[in-house]
Amino acid sequence: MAAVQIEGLVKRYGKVFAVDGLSLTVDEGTLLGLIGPNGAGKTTTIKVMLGLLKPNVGKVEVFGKDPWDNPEIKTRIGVVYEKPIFPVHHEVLSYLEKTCRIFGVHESKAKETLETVGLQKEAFNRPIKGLSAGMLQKFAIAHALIHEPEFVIADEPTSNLDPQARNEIMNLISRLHHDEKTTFLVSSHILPELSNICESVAIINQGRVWAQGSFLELCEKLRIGVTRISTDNPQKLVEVMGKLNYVRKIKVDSRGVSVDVPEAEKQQLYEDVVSLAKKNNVKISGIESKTALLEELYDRAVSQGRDG
Amino acid sequence: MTVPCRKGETVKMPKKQAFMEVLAISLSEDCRFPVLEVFTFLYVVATIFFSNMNFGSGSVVMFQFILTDEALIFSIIKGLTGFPIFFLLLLITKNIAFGLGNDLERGTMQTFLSYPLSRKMLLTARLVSSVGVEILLFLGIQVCVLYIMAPYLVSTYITTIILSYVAALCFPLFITGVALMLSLVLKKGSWGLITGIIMQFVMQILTTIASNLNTAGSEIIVKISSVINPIIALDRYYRSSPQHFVQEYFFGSNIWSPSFSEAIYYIGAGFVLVIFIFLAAYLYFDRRLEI
Repeated sequence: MAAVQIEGLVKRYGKVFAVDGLSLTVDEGTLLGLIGPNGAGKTTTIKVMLGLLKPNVGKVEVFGKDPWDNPEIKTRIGVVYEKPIFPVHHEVLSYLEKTCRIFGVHESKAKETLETVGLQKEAFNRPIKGLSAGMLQKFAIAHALIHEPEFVIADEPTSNLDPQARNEIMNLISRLHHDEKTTFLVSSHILPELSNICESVAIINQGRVWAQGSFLELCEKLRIGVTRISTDNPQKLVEVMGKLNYVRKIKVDSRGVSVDVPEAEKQQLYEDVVSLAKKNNVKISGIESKTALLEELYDRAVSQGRDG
Repeated sequence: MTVPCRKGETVKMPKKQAFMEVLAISLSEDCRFPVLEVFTFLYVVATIFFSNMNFGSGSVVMFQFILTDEALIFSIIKGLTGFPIFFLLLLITKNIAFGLGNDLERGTMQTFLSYPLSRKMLLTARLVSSVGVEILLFLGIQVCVLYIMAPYLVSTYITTIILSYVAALCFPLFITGVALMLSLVLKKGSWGLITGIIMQFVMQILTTIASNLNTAGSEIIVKISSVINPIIALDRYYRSSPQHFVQEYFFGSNIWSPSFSEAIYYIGAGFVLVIFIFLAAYLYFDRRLEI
């Protein structure tokens, strides 16, 4: 069953289309990554799901109901906003206890949830305005999870956080998804961190979903399989391999040289790499064929979408 | 209303509890120490100061021979409410601006909207906190002081007292409605605060102009002012101001003076305006406001 079903969503701000014919399904029990550049329409889509914005055109259903008119579905949803804002003068634990009462949950859950998200005990009695960015994000996650929602929407949950805090938040989301079977929709433009935890992704750009599915499905759908070559002279190799007419894309990254070729040409590629390396005196230490990285999937989806 | 929980059971939706908790959160933000304490002090000091003026060497003594008892009561209440109502207006517009307006501007409203509470109930909780409690505090202090100063007046002329306070609160509520609407539409609380203060002063100036024009024979501006601020109509009905007495008895001017039923109509019209603007704000918040 789908937790969220969006069909043909259009949302305009004046003459600007923030979302333009977007369709998306979030199945229950999945951890879906919503990826796209800044201004792609991720936050607008999430806000429509939460009943904060009204669609101009299209149908949006969360657990089968229109989120604008049905506040009762909020008992089944938890939200982590990109910039979590709470009434700042309240103390952390006291505010979360109030949230417990709002959702009809026992107050003891507040402390328990704060411990689950890993917020330090000394922060419990601090005013919310006294929390650091990382602590505030953890508090926001505790606030979203306090009523054990079936579905959690996290909009850029790691923005403005340092790498360590980012990892902690992402590990926490992954753990909750696996242990509690909570459905997650995590939006981000930081792709590596999503690739570590997401089972499937929806690639969104210019207000539309350009591709949606698991990594494997997307690799097949987008016909992408990257071959990585480890070498002592990547620049030279890129220069000579660029002349091969079946190479779709070639680039140098920290792992060596990544080459995108059609599946049928892979054998030919191995032979050409060996001969070109020998001819140009470049040392090859390894060749391996891998499933694409999320960044590569994203690049391909965006470029295919642009080309129609 | 019941909703399914994650274990497949249905649980009762904590609607009333959610309302009370959001109200409690709003109250602790709006009435944070020492805001309410300072305003309570101002109400008490201003009310006692003006009651002292009225009951002591003020209008009661000066005009008790020419005014009816009801007019005298109205005159006293008008005196008592003068400055405190300005403080009330400041407190309410401050709450709208830095409470509700800031919630919209900074994004706290998004957090409130993640709770299982309808938009109407959410706005009601915010308004009870920003406006309701403040009006109750104001009325409580006023009536207490009035009762302490003259218990016989309160028990004898309760209808006049209620009518006077209802008329006196109409204009502050109208300004509150305008400030609320502006804060919702512009999503900036500061505009509500500025507009509220400006409207208060504009009304003072308009009342003076209307009064002077009325003396010169024109009634239209004083009638329009009376719809927005029906205390003017009630004032004219009771002929409680010294200027009325001076104009009529010494210069023979014919000042507009409504009948009792007309004064009631003006109060009704004033509240129709107030209800209309609050209704518009509710509808806008419920059906249109995107956050």
